[in-house]
Amino acid sequence: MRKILLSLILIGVLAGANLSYAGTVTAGPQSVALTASQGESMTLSLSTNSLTIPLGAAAGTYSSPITANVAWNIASGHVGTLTVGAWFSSASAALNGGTGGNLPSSSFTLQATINGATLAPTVCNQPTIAAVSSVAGATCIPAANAVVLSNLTTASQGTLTDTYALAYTGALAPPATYTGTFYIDYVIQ
Amino acid sequence: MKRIIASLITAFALFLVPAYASNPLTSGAQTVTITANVNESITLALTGGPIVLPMTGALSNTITASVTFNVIKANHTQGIWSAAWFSSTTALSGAGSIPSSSLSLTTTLNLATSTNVCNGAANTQTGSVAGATCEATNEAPQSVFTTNPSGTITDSYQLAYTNPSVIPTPGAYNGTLNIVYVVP
Repeated sequence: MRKILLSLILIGVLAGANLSYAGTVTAGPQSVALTASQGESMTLSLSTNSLTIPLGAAAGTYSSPITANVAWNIASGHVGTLTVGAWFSSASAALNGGTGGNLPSSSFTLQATINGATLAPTVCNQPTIAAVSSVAGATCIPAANAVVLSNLTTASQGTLTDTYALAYTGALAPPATYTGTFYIDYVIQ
Repeated sequence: MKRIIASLITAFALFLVPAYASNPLTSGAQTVTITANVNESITLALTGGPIVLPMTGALSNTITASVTFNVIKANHTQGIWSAAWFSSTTALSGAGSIPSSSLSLTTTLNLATSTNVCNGAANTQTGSVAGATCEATNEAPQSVFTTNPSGTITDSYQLAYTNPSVIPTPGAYNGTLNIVYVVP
């Protein structure tokens, strides 16, 4: 009986000794390389994509303005110029009126406020602005006013809010409904 | 060997970083559809009024009509019409009445001068009144229109009392001469 009791105690001691080995087991921290890339961006949104220009008795009156909201997020390394362009697709036929014929771009005048500066009213027969590939003779912004900023050489973010209004300043046009397309573009080089 | 692999992975990861800053960045050209409308029009401005009519038979002061038009030829087969008339055969009233038939209108229309008694027939193109019409003229037939004619017309009008031997009752007389230009 003493032997049996001694054996039970011994088993109990050994079992208790085994419990003392059940600690946390870990493989240790592993590291994962992490990379992220933010691409450059530039966006342009217009307040409207449809505009009516007064003609007939109201010729010479400016249309309601188009508001252009520009935003950019750029890295360093650019030449640093922000160039704007506004133009019609054709010098000879900016607007077409079917039997009424064509209205040339030289019959339209742009009044624009760009980067807070109101430009002098400009007839839309200006030379091309190379940076935006505007149409020669159908461009409404003079080359001298096309470069809006020239200090964007370092990483930066920014916005512009510009306005554009058009007026018909040509000769009396035959009665008709005329339609055409006007382009606005911004480029950072 | 592990270090070599790790270095290669690092080098590959470095190549993944884009090098874009030297490229132009464009917002993309946005387009605006432009619409402009010119309606057909004809406007009339009269100067020189009011008319003071001498009861002696002499011509009154001159009324000048300045007309500006901008129309589409295909829409108007009858060209441009003008007319002058009184609202009724009683042209003037006041102390008594003076019939339109006792008045004549001397006009210079398209540089051609003519005189007509104001008792002409109604004219359907202009809506003039029967028996009180002084003139109704097709000043510019469609045949002379260009494709989309626009331009100006300047005409003149003078009234005269044609029955001075009949002296009306003394007093003031008033009336209205209507002048219209129509492109039917």
